[in-house]
Amino acid sequence: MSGGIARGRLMEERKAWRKDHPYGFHARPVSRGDGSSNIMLWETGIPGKEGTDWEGGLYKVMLEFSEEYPSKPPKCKFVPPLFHPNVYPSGTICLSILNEEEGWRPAITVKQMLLGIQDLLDTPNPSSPAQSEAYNLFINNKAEYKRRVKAEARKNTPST
Amino acid sequence: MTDSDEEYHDEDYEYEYSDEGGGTDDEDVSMDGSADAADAAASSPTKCMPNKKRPFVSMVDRRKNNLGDNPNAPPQLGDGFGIRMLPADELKPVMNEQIQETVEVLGVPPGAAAILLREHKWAKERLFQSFFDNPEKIQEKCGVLARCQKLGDDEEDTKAGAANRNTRANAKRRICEICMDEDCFDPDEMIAMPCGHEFCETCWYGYISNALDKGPLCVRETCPQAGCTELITEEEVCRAAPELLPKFECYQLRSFVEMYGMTRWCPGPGCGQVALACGGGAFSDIGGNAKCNVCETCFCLKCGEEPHAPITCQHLSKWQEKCKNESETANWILANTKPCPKCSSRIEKNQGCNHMTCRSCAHHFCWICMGDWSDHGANTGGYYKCNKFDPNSDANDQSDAARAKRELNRYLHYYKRFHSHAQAQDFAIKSVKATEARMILLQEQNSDTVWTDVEFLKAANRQLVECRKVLKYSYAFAYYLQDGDKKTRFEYHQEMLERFTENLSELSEKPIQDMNRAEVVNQTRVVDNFMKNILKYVEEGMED
Repeated sequence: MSGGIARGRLMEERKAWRKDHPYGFHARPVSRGDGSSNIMLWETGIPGKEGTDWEGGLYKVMLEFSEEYPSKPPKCKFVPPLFHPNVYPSGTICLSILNEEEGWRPAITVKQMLLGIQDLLDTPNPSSPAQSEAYNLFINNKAEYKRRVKAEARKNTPST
Repeated sequence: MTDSDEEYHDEDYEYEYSDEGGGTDDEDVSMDGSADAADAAASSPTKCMPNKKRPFVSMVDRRKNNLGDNPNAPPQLGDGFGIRMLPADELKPVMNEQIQETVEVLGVPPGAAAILLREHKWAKERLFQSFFDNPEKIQEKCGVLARCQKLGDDEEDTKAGAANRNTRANAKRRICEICMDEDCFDPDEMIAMPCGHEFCETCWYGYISNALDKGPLCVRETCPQAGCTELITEEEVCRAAPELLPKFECYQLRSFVEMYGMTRWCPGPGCGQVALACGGGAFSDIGGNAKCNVCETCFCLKCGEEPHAPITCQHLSKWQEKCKNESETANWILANTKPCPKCSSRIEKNQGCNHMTCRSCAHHFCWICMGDWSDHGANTGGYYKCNKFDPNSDANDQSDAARAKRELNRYLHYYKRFHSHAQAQDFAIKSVKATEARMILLQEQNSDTVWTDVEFLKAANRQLVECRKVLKYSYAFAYYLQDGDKKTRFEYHQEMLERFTENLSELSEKPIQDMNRAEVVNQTRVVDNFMKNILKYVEEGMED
């Protein structure tokens, strides 16, 4: 019913983001290549927190909004899929604030979502595993897990 | 027949909306519901309870007279434990009474009281207890902290405060954090939660209608603000989406019926009636049987299953679980083979009577109890010995395999009889319907037999349904019974009931012209006595 407001809200989100956003992050609607952009699909970059194994990496996350946004959350996906216990093999992120049945609220902003995902990187939630590889290493072999995370950070280091 | 049919449709129509929580069919309710709500909104925008309060006062008196909370009141006979069947709608006063009492005791607003009660499964005393231990903790846990604190403010102070806020706010237009509309909003276009988070009317409407689309869970919807745990109530619904209020209230009532300890939905398909117990006794292990006044479904108030005396709800559910787990094996074994008691050849019985002759060793045995056929026969009354299970056969073998086999056999013994009485019950139900059809036919034909001439047959078949039901559950009951004198006496009652039930069954299946009416009437009465005896025996604790 509130479908009509998705685009308007996203324009405002874009404006608010331009005015002020956390250091090291970026977020913008995907350009269609003809000068226009698709407001319903955003490309964002989330930096690994300093002092964690994820530091140095900048992880690309796509936000896919539906016409039902903000009643329903956007679909958030790491592209390419990330080695992380709470990321599905498809790259989709399993996080309570992004889940309509759990913590999603219409008033959650893009900024809050991205900060939430950044937080998740170094504090995985072992009670909702989404991929077996990262989950098993996280539970059974912390050293190897650490090594893989660092490799992931190197892989995602911006070239500049 | 026709009278009651008409009644059925009237009631059904009037309360139709309660079936599925009022997805599409709440027009007739929303008419007066939204009118009331609009009234309420016009006269006092912050209070939306008046339409609830008005009937409340009159209903208290009615309840006192009719339902009797008085513990000294004599138990109401007829419906056994004082169970009333009501349309869901009439439960509203009962719910409101609970809410009102909580409002008075705890000094919280009605919306918060309803949530507090719901989170405590409507157990008032439990709520009061934990509330007084630590009010803030409970309020926070239940998501009503801000709502309760708000009421704590002095009324005038709030008004003055609101006025002040308005003037101050008028200077500045507000941002709605849902649509983030760049034009912003006048303060009077915003609706705030008690927690202070406010959003524009349009976004509120969207939020609430989206919440209602989620179904029954909508009563636990929180403030739209990120991380805020304050729950929305009818107050916000009434202000933001008055036309959705009836639907929301319908879900509130539904949640009440499901969680309140004294109510149960009628399990009849599509039936929206509710059974209300007027005393705790109706929820005892056996006894609280309700009969729906609309669809005529009979059910146990405590577990919602078909009335299941003599077995308790607890044992019944255990039994059902067991049957579910083992039915595959059991059915296969029952349907296909049995070993010959002498030579263990697998024998499949595909037709004929229970007198078996083994093709391998020519042993004569009874298919039911697997005992020697020579122990059977009318002169010994032996056939009916087959309702007793003798665990002593083969009892000396203590190996695990032998024990498992004995346990399986013990279960199969009871399951077989449980199952065959269940089938016989279904058959008797069909016979009741067939008899009814025959009665109508006779009435129309106006021949020399009139319909009252077969009414005795309907009574007999109804009796058979009841007896089969009791027999069925008596075998589940016996499965959990310890061996001993009590069990022996129980089995005696069971045997008598079974024998006379089979008797009546046989008599009533004869062609109508061969039927001895006096005998059927007499047997119906006799078997009814046996049924009552066995139930009474169990009810009285199986003492002699």
